Amino acid sequence: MMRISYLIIFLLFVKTISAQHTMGKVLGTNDNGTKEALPGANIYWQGTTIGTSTDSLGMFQILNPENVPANLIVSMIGFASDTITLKEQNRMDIQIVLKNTVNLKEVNVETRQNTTLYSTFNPINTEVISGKELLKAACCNLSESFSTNASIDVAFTDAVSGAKKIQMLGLDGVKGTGSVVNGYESISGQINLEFLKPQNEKKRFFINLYVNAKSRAEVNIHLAKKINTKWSTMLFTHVSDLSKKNDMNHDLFLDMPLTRQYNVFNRWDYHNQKNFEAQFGVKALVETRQGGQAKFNYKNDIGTNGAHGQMPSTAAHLPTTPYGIGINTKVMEYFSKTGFMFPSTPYKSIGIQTSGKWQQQDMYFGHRRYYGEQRNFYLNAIYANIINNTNHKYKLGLSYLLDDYTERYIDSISNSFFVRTESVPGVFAEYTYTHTDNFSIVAGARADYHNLFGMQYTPRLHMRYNATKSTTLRLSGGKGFRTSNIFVENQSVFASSRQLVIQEKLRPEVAWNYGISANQKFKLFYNEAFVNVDFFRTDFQNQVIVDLDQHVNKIVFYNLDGQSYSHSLQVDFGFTPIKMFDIKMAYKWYDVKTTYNHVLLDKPYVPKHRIMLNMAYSTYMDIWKFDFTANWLGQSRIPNTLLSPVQYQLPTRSKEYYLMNAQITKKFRKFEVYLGCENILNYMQKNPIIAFDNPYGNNFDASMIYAPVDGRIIYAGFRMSIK
Amino acid sequence: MKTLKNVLSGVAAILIFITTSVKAQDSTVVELKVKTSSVCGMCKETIEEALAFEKGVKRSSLDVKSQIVTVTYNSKKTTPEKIRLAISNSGYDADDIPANPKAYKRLNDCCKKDKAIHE
Repeated sequence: MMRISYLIIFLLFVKTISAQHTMGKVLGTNDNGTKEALPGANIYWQGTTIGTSTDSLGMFQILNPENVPANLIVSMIGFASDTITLKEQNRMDIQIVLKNTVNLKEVNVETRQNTTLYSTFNPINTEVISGKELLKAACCNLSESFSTNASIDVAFTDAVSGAKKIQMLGLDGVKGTGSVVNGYESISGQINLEFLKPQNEKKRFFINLYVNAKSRAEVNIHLAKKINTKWSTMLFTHVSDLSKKNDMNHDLFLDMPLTRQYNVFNRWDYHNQKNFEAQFGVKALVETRQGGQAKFNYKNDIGTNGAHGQMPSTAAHLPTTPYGIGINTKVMEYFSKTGFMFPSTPYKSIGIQTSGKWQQQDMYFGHRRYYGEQRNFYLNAIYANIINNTNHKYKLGLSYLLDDYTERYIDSISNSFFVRTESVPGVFAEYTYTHTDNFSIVAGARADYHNLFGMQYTPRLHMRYNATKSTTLRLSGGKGFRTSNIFVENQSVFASSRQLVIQEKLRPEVAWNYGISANQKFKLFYNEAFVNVDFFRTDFQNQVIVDLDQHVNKIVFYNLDGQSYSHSLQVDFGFTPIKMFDIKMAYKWYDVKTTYNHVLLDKPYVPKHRIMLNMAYSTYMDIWKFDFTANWLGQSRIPNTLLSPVQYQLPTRSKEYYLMNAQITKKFRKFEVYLGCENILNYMQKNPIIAFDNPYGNNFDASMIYAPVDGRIIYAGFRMSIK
Repeated sequence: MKTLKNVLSGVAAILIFITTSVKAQDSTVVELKVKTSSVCGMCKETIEEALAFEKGVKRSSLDVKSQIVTVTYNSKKTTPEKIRLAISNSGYDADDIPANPKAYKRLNDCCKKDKAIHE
């Protein structure tokens, strides 16, 4: 009888009942013990991405699980999560009662420990940020996207400083445009760095030791402590060291710079178990890198000539002085995120995030010297609510950014200061429409007033459509805006004889980005398989052009005059031929073109074609894990060197090459050990440093790098954790 | 190019090895059911992990509701007694063998015997 009456209720409220769904209602007990419908609760099948949330009447409809029995997890802020096991498909009478709890447990926010750089073949879908978890609270899962920073590292190592960079869409950053809530900067997208959160952390202690055959050593230690039901904290420490000099190719230059890094990060979480939660943390980093000629000694060769903040005169070094390179960085950072929820209306929340940063970078490249200091403050306040029901959600917010740069650049002909303060207040609004669980659209816009460049409008749009339960289509489009930092972003070029030329006043970069992607899941060899195809176009209206082609002795900066765009097409295919054995393949095509001095050319060092293959096998309970990755990188364009003497000229295109990595991990009862090898084929760019025998001469250039300069590296490590 | 070929054939060899070793079946594999004092999903993880490192144990699966763990093992390499002892050493009763008190003390609060069975 019960069953029939529920059916009738559903027929009234759900317009289309397809036989492929499981349906039910979620109720919550409130403080005085009575039950009421719970709108906005999250529901998903354990171990899948199939999920939905309840409507204003507490009803939900979710796609059937692939197999039964399956666990359905129901969660809601302010209530204890519940898991029920369903033994049959198409159930329509599920009723779940969640108990009101004081424990504001955040549900299943996947945490990822960020220690490695994301590879270009492993793009992060920006939908993850703006997608399904919007309702839980403006803070602290939405705000996780704030740890998101179009963080720009260096893509190819220059042959001396050893810095690395990530490039996506052939540009910096990750794919596609981001949510307006996260600011105006994302042109090609964002990288989501998410740290482990103390309150979900089961391990009290974690240590990772790493050492490689080139005498590089690293230690990571994480400590987690739950102080009481409200407070929890984590401490992350990282130390890495390379103090042995390696010169395998006998060009008198170190293959890898000597490095030492100390990194400490302490975060605190507070949940008052009712309507308020907060996270805050502080981070400090000190890093020194020293490269260049092996016989270079900082004290003798630079120390007397302007070390410790004292700037050298413009006079160049004697040609007999060893050539040295150093990059010394100090960073202090803090962040805070606070969220206020309204327990009776859980879809309503207020989140406030702030962050501050002080960074100092002191670099020398032979007789070239750079000193930069950045002070940054950022504030963002988000109000989230719904219109009538949870199918219509919106967010409104205010933000403020203050960025202060003091930079000084010195070389043999110039000695100049670059000082700028950016002050940018902004407002934004974002609307999300969700139609059952197969269609959603996020439309956002923001307006920012930049003190130097005036008003900036940034619209963004995202759409997702699940055509079937295994087919997902996505569309995105939007505008982005950023000011570029020419010194920090192009520091590797300083390891050359190129002179810095800034032709005009540089304007901010503005670009439109459009993307489309399709994901299809299917069964192959009785296991789950997928194909993902995406295509992105980025169209620059203005760009700060880094021109290396004009002259071999110059690096020229100017504003875009003409066309500049990036096309990227990526196809991913993953399947599981036998249980516990996964194979992933990807192909990526880049077409990144920019107008350099009135000529449309490929962006240098970006291969047009790449192929990746990854195979991973693990035994029962991951006792053994085997991982193998192979990359093939096609040719890329090398900047013009025709003006150099013949012996220093490079071909116009790079060679294609393979990169292979492998790792084996063995787990023991109390710890695990791993052994791996990077660059198995030992592929290296031949003679990476042009005119290495005369580093102060006109032809010296250590920045023309398209492939690894470091050969095969064997490494081993040890991990242990205490729960 | 030649090195590449070598590497690829090496990889192929590993793959073949993996495939064959997965398919290899041992005729002495038997099943054992043990009643434990587990109460939740975390207990399930603890016990299954502890058994995974036990010599001769191929697989184990604990049903939280019935508290019964089904262990598949090679009877030439281990015995039911050893398996029960391993469960006891992870902090749980195993049939008539009581939990090792030291290990029991270390268990998370939610995994103690006095708790009702919960997910």
